[in-house]
Amino acid sequence: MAMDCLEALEWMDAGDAADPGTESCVQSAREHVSSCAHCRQVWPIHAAWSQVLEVALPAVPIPAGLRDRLQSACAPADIRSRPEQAPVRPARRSRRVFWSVALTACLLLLAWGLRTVWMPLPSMPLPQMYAGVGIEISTLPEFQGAFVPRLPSSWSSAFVLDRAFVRGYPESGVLGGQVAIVPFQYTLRGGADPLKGRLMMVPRDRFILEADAPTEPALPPDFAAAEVRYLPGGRGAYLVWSEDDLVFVCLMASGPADLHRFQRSLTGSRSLT
Amino acid sequence: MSDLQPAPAISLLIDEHYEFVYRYAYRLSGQQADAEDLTQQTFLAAQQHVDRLREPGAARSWLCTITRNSYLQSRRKVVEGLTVPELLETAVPAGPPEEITDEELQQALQTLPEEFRSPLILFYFREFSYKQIAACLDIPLGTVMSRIARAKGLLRQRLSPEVSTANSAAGMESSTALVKK
Repeated sequence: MAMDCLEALEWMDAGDAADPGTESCVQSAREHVSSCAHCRQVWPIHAAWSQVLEVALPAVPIPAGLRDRLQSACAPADIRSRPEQAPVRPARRSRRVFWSVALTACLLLLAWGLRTVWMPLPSMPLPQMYAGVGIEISTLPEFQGAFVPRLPSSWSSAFVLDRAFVRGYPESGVLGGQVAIVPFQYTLRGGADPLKGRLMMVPRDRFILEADAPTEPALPPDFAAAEVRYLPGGRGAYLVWSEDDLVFVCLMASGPADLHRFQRSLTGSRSLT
Repeated sequence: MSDLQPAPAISLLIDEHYEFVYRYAYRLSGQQADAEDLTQQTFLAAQQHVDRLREPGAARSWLCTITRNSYLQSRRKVVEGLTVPELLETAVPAGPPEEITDEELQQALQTLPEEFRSPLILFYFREFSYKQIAACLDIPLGTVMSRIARAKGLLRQRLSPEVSTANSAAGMESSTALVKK
């Protein structure tokens, strides 16, 4: 059974994962590797990587108490609720406590409702954020808003913000004065073409990323901790994080790999030697 | 021993498989908190549908499928349609670095689409054959092999010492058209 290099290396990688009945494929792969100069050179490197990944990938520490939490979570409802063990309270006192709690809850609900009604809704819906990756910057006016645009702290070593290039959305629109956007480009050492992207800045209390969800309370605190996410339709990738009173969104149309390299280069990759 | 004890069947499943499920969930999500949530969702779903588990020997594969489906549901608003470039690795690849930190590994994993990440993770957990991975992920056997190979190649590129050295902070050249230094 003739095999090309790629197929042979894939079968050699299979090892014990190869199912019964495929021994002939594994044997053919071994014969190919032993007779092919390129594979003889490449296979030991593939094997070395496999050894590393075989050790590293499963090496995930288990959080303390996880088993007990899972067992508790899956306990039947009739075991969870033990009304016969509830303390017995005098009826009159319990009614006073109940009405006090109920009144407090109503007041809090009323206050939250009034705040929600009176405060303008958060901006930055998802489609606008997606559009930011490809929007023509020259079509946007200079930014005029209630906050002062600034760069993320970890970017200051590589960039200086020139206010003349910070753009905003038209005042008449829902994003007017709420979102600042600035293009940037960055060349990696050894890179031929610069990486190009957009940085968006939104006040923290005006930010909502998901179209139908409240602002995520657990935005990463800095650029280094942000997770690369994918834009739909293969439009690229983005990072989102918050620093103090601003939320930053870094968009890169060329994709997550470039964004990942950009992130690593700005946050300082550790030398492996 | 906790006062709260689930029904025996799910209790045994938890005891036997929770570590594996958590590790898989962590490698998928990249976050401990998300991984715990996924693990819990997995066993709660398993508890509801434990009657669908016909063979005890297939429990781990079944739980993996639930974990993956839960993860995909939680990510459906973010991850869509990313294509992975063809792996043109005709040259001899670089060998692995002496040490790979978990953070570096996880960051590299997160840059892979899930459909490449999952077979790679399950393969290197050394718990499943290719056929079992194919059944768990509901993809053809040949697709399992090719995705694992491509995912490995992409990881090699991201974790290779040559790439990391080129990205070191010292002497990094930066040029910006509009935001300049």
